[in-house]
Amino acid sequence: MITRVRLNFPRKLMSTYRRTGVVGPKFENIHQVEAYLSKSFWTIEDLLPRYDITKENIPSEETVKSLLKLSGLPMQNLKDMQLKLANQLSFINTLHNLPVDETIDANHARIMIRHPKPLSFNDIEMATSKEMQKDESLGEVSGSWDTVECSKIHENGFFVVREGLIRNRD
Amino acid sequence: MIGRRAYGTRLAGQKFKLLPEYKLRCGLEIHTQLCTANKLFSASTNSPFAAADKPNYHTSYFDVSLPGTQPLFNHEVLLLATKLSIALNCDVNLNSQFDRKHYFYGDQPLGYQITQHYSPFASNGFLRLRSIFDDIDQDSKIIEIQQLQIEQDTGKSVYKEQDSKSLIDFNRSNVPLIEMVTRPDFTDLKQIRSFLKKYQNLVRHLGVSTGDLETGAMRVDVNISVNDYARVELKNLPNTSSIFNAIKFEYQRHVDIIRNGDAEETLTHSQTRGWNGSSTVKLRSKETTIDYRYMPDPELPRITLAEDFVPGVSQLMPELPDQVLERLMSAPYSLSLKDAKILTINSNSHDQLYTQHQLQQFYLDTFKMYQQQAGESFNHKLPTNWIIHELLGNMNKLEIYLEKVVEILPPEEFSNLLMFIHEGKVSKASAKLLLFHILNSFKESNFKSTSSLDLSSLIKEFELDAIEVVPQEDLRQICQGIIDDLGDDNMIKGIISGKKKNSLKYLVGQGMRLSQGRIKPHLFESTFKDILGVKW
Repeated sequence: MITRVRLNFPRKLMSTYRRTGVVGPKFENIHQVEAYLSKSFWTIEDLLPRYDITKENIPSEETVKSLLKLSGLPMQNLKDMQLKLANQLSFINTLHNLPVDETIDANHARIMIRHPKPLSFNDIEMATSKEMQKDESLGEVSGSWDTVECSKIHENGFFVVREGLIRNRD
Repeated sequence: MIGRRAYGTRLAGQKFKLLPEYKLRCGLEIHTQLCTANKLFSASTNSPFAAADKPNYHTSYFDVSLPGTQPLFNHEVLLLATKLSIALNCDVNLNSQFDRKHYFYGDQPLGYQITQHYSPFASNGFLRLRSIFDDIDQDSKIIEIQQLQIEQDTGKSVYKEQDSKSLIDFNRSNVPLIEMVTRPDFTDLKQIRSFLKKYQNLVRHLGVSTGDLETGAMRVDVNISVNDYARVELKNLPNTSSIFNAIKFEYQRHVDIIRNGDAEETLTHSQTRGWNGSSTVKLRSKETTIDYRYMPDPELPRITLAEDFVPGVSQLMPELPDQVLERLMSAPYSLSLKDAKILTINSNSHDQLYTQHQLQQFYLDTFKMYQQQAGESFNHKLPTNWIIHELLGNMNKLEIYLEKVVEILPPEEFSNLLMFIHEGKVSKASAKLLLFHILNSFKESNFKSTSSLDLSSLIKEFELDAIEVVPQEDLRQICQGIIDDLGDDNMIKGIISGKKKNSLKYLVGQGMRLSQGRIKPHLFESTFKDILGVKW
């Protein structure tokens, strides 16, 4: 049901998905495959009508300040932030206005099978013993990789978070 | 600050008392770490406490939120969560789901916690407290359980004030937790204390958690309201004393606010407060409420369970602690509540030489064998006294684990020892020496002594067996010696005249002590009477 995604997952594959299938010439080598996958065939604009920013949909400075406070972000570039938010809101409004299938329960909005087969007592007992296996390629074996190595700052095996991130955020 | 000091001083100086005109209502929110082998959404090892000296050791890519990684649900969690739900009389939701709770914090780099907000795992349960077992003032008190939800633990942060930074360890990240929420049904502190004990014992008994407060395997938040004003949620309560001191402090604070006529202004909106060791301090109020932006987790399927799942887990359930206590307190065991609890109520197992399960099993097996051997004349107190008091005492003195004890004294051997005492072949005093000797020599052999235990030979070897026939002359000599050493003519006269009949027992006791119980008391009694010419 859920596949574990490795770190080197080819993300470009997702962005080159085409809505209509086309059979093209046979690929001769890996470079051709890579070149094909790296080429975009569509843009968001293809799918969405254009949206415009009007004065009415620019959020107030007060709203932006409140959002920045909640997000723990610095109170800077308020004008710029208002415009960015307005842009995003217009985009979301456009999305909301697109026709959707209202019969689907929002609880099932998942990128996986929506109605899985119910798990029986035996299924779970079996799954449990299978899940005890650790996958080294997912870093699941204790001590098999240096966890903090990839962080810029670390100390005696701990990650380090500077004060501002955790305390005094108000 | 002045206000805080006043509360602290008053609490320290006076015994806390609930006032009848200020009604306390409390609810509990308990986070319990499940002791599964692996973590909740990865197969890395779930060992947040044991690896405290190795930070970030039990961490997969997902546990530290590396981009591109995804959660994979550990189904073992379902077995444990279902056991706890059944024990708490909850309805298990056959179609629950995981949701994301968004907040920004250094120990949660994913940016959200995976929890169950919209459709939790179980709900509508209860736990019954009873005065007979739980030391509450009411005969019985039902505490309703609102819900149980499965969620992930966060990493652990250690704040280093000097350097203005926090050190983060993700060994605890993604460890499975059950968040259990009760209804605000508690009306006094005794109920809360007994509920916590009962719940802690239950999770240990079911083997779903170590239940230790000191390691953070069990963490308690309290919500409190007085006279139905808005509730205050108390967080950061690391141990039992903080929990109760914080409740007492907060109750007093509410009472003072209401008395001063400030309740309408101060107590109409809920608040979150922490405990700093001497007073509660405001963490969040209405103005700073966090919007968690809950949403169903799109990377995890719903947990859909077939109809056979809950009945299947029910069959794995052990007898629950209250049922065990009831059984042990009735015939044939007829234990006192105190002794039954020693066999049933689990303490934290770090510094204990046995688990309650091991000890109870040893007791039951020994009891059964002794009962078979002794037949109708069996004495139900003998196994209790010799296991719960003598054996445990010796184990603690010698620091021997029960699992070692059963290597040299398995239930059938222990039952044989009880039979020697039962039949009067050894006195209690001699049996005590014998038990200590057996355990001590086994320990001194570094638990390697392979020769099988032969109680009869040991008793003979150390001359511990009861002396059935004692030459009359020897006995007279011992008794005369006791009378001479006593040198108390008044007592002797009292015995002879019959005015101090009980003093004869004192003399017999001295004889028993001298002979280490090997000579029967009635022999001493008749000899003393003979020497002193007692006519009564």
